[in-house]
Amino acid sequence: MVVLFSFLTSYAISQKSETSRPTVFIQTNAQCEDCKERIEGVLNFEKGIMYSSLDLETKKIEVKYNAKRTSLEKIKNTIAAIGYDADDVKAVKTAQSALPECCQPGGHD
Amino acid sequence: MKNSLILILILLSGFTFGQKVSIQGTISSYIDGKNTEPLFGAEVFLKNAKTGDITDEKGKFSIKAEANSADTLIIRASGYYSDTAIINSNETINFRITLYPEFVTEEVIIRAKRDNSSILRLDPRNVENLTQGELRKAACCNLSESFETNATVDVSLADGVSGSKRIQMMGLNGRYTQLQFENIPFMHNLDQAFGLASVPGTWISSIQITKGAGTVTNGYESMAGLINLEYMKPDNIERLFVNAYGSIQGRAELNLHGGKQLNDKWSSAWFVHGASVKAENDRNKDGFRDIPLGDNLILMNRWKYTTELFRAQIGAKVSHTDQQGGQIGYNRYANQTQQGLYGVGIRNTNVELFGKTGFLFKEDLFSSIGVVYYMKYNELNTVFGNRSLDATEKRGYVNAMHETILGNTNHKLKSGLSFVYDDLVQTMEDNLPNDTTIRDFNRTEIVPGIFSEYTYTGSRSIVVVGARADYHNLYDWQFTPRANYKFDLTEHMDIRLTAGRGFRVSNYVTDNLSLMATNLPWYVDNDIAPEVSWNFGASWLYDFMLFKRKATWTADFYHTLFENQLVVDRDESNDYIRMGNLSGSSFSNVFQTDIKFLPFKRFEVKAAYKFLDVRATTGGELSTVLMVPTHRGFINFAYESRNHRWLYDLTLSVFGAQRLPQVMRPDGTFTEDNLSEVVPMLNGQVTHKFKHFEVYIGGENILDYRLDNPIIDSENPFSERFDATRVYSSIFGVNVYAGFRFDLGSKK
Repeated sequence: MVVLFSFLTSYAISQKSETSRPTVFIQTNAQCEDCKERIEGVLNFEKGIMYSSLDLETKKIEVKYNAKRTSLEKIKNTIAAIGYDADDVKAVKTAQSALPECCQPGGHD
Repeated sequence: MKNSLILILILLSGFTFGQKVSIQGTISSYIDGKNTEPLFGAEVFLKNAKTGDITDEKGKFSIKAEANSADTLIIRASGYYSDTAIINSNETINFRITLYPEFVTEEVIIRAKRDNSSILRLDPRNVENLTQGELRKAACCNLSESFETNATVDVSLADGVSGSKRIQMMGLNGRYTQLQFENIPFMHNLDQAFGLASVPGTWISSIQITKGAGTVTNGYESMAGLINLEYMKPDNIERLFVNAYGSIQGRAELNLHGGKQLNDKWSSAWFVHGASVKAENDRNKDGFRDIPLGDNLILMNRWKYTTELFRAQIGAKVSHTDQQGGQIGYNRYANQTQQGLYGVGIRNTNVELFGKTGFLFKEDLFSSIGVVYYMKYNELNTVFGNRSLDATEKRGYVNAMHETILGNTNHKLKSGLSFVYDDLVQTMEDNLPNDTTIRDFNRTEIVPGIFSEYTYTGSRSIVVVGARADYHNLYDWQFTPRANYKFDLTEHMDIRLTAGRGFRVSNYVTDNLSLMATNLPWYVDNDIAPEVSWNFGASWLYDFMLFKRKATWTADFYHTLFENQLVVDRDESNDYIRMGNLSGSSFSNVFQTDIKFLPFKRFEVKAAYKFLDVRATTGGELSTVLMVPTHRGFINFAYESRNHRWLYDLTLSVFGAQRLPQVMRPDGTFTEDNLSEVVPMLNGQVTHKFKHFEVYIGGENILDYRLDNPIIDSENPFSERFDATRVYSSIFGVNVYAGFRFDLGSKK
């Protein structure tokens, strides 16, 4: 019963869609499954982020967040701090060069 | 290997200089869906040009080769699936290749994503791999609980008073399944009864379940199957991992482990497990503890040393259990005649030392020599009312194996020598109303052996043929042939066949320890011969798309036939239990089918059904073996939230009716209901993850199915009719537990 109940509540929460909980798409330069796991792995555990999912074909990451607890700017900066471009925010250079070679720009060309 | 080529990410850069090109790259080792690490010491060489290199600490290699010559690059490392890459470029090439450990499945290799249990597609045997994700679906506690979401291995209570669990594979008692850790056979003799509890669940990184007789390289004892477990390895372990667990049964548990890479050669890991049950539980009000009180401490320390051509591992494990079940208030260490209570005391101390050394050869890249060592000292003191057993066992084991190829990698040959020394001293004392016996059962086994196994790998099939010969000091020469065959019908469908002999020296005392929980005397025949079985099996696997996602469907059938067996006969008489050699026949036929699919994203459904026909001649008639359900099924739902932070698991297991022993009640009447009820078991668990931290809460036996009267004549536990062996289900009923895991991650 506990299982079912918590399952239902979390489902209900994820269905709620208000402007205070916007979903945004951010253009990144992620290239591979590794990059996807790395970015999602950080974002999913950031304060205020409800979920994130990166599409490797378009390299866009879908992020749903709680606008009271975080902001689009903060999210972009987080992505940049991991070492990836996020729309207009460029990747933090030191973080980018710390990535495995394959995940750095041009690593898969 | 062509599938894994997909993963090879080739970077072309630079230009051709003269006649030579440089082939360089990095080899890494797969850890999980997220991480890889540089693989040190992997061999990389060109098949035709016969030049090669060995990767450095950063996993890098570099080979100079003739330009414009097509060749095949082979990448090989011990313990990993080999990989190949075709080279036909005249440019400098930069490879980036991930090798997958042998216990990782092909499915994982392709999808590089979380998959908790699956059949190892590349293995010629029918091997099911359980990863940590699967093991965590049941947060408690030790190896015996690790098979909850698995239909191949069944777990049940051994009796109504000791709280120990037994496993069953193919309807045959766990003693017919060979247990090993990291390919070292263990859990012999004294460990048969309570050994499973000495392997904490959180220390296990994965478990491989092989159905059928398996390989000959690790001994002759696997009859129904083989279970191998891998502990966490020093070079790939969290810096610190903490797990705490508590349940309404009054069980508290703390598990810690951690490890460190000390330098480029040495790494080390330590493990601690402490568990305690302090609460008295008696839900059915029969005056007996539903769960024994007790304490359990297990420690392990292991070290690993790696250089280019030499690897070594050494470790030590110490385990001590002291538990007291039986009537409420029983204290093993108080005066027995004064308290006058029926008690079950189990004290088990086990010290194990193990080591592995491996040698590789620079000039002969395909050969290796591996030697494993294992030693244990085991002391067991058990009391069941007026029956007791005091035993010690010393065991030593060495296995040296040479591995090489014959001509090319399609033909592999393993051959080696083994040596087993096992010294057993047991005294069993019965002071029963109808029987007072002291049995001394001492035995020293000395078994040198020799084995060889040939593997042919074709484009669509794999054939493994092996045999071993062992000279047993008590039972002479034993010849153990085994064969496996795998054929790929299509890219998505394969079949496997297996046949083989198993041999095992029984120990009627520890093999049947749970039968001490009755006051019926044991009549044991003289000249108990070793057990010999033949196992034949066929399995079928199909990978297909369902709901646009990958699904797997398997079906298999196994037949195990005993030439001789230590038969426990409770049909001959209601007044005693007869143990003797098989006269008549004994066999097991088991059909099992499993399906796994994802109806929605991140929602996995696993279901299985098993039909068991297990019979043996007891009481002069061929009858169904006691305590084996004819039908068994389960369904497991696992859901992961979109941000991967919530995990939900729900498992329903159903155990069909089992034949129970007919027992005489104290008033002289017999039990009429000698077929058990159908038992449903519903378990669920919710896990929530934080960055380095996760919490879980779960329920076992949520439907609260339990036996009201598990013990016959519980009012008079010292009477001749007292019997606590008719237990086929939970005594305690619903259990709720919660706990957390803290993981500092692994850092190089």
